[in-house]
Amino acid sequence: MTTPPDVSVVTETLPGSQLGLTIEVPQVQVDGAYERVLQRLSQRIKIGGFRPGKAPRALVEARLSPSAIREEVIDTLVPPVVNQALRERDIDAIDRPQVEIQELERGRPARFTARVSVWPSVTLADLDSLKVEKPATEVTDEMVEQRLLELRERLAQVEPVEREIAMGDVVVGDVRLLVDDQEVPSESRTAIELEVKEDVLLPELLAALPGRKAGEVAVAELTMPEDHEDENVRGKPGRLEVTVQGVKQKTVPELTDELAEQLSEGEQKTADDLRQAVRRDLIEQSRRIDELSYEQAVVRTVVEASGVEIPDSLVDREVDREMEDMERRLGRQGLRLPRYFEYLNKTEDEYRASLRPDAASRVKVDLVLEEAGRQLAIEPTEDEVTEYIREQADKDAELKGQLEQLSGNEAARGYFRHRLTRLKVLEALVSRLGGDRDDKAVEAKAE
Amino acid sequence: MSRSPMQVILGPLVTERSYSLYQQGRYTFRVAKDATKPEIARALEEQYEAQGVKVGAVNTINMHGKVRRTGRRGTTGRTADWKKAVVTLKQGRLEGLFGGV
Repeated sequence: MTTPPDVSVVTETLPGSQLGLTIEVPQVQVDGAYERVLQRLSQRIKIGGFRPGKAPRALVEARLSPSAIREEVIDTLVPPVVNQALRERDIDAIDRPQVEIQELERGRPARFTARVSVWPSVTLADLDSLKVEKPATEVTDEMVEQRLLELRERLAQVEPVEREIAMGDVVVGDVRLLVDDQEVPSESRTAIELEVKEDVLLPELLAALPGRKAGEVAVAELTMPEDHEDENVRGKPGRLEVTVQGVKQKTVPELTDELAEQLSEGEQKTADDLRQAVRRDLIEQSRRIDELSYEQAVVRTVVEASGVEIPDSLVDREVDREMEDMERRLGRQGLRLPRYFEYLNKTEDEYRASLRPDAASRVKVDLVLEEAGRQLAIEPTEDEVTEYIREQADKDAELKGQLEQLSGNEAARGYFRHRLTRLKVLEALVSRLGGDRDDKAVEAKAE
Repeated sequence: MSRSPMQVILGPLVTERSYSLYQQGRYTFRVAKDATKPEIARALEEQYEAQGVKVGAVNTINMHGKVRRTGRRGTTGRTADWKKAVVTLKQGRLEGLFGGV
């Protein structure tokens, strides 16, 4: 369509990051559209006595229902006009415009309204005013010793002994659970090993076992948890009977230089070296965890302090993506989505609705990070993208074979560029909000 | 013997050819098989009395029905014969034979 000189467009901002357009098309253009539609239809329609396209216009019109013609006119007239309006106004629509025809009649100007979602404007928080405390988990001597103990326990010697049960022993026995004097078979075991150790055994059992000997029965009274799978026993008092068959003593080896060498597979020569190595590992580990949680905290802070109106259509899209994802995952297990809903006892709509809040917050994070990237002018160069793709390929065997293909393919590059940008934005935000990183201080303390 | 115009003039003939005649001011109708030219002229003037038309000339053609095959064994039948009349007016115009209005 040629440039319509006098299509008038009025825009208004609607909530939910939507934009309303009221478009008026002059009569000339409306009639032109009618003409074109009739022309086209007359080529297609068969009228007895005429070759296609030869029938007089008036006859064609009489043959077709006015509403059908109107439909056609809408289809030919509206999309180009709407698209043109969007283009002229530099409106970046993210969904199909929803058009409502207010008035459209031959020989009269037409008026319709359109509604599109646009990229929401993001009010990025003032980054300089934000500050996020960097978590610094300290590695204490206890943590190191604990870790060393765990290591040594793997080499512990377990020997049967003829004596009463003591803390740290391993008990062999049968366990029976009684509720209302009825045995609960699902919880009963025969000839199992129980380690008499905190955080491993139920506290009630931990209190009941020590002091017993082989052949005796230890009894622990307890209350069944409210979320037990068998609803008949939920919340009821229960009685655990452990028939002790044998007691084993567990001897954890002392930390000697030889043991250290053995534990580290020859890498550390002395107990002290091992202790140092364990400490270094722990520091490294907690540093990584800190970093991750710090990054999350930074993102959360920035997103919370930024204003975004999340367009529904983006959330819909995100939900769609997740549904597709799930369908694929289920498909691999040979399960169909409708069956899964049945199993969940939910309708598809309900399920979609339950996905929405998370999807919305993900969309929000995406939008804010993107805006941050724009404002911080973070844009990886093509070389950096190529480099990034290579790095990723090194980590992933499946990608490796496709390396050539990937770096050449624009869509794939776009994907990796996007990911790299996001990574860099995260980095930038972290260093911006955290000020100088004080890793050195943490390391100094460790030495 | 006098028939009502409706019995004489069975309806306009709408074809590509009749349309081109129509554009020259000649109107084509399907008429009763046994209608005569004067009868057609009279019927037409009566039917379009409101428009005050006066018929100048009537040309008629007997159209033979086409042979059509019927049934499975290739038996043949034929469509009805009919008569076509092309009317030239010396006064007035006829509208709406080809849709519109």
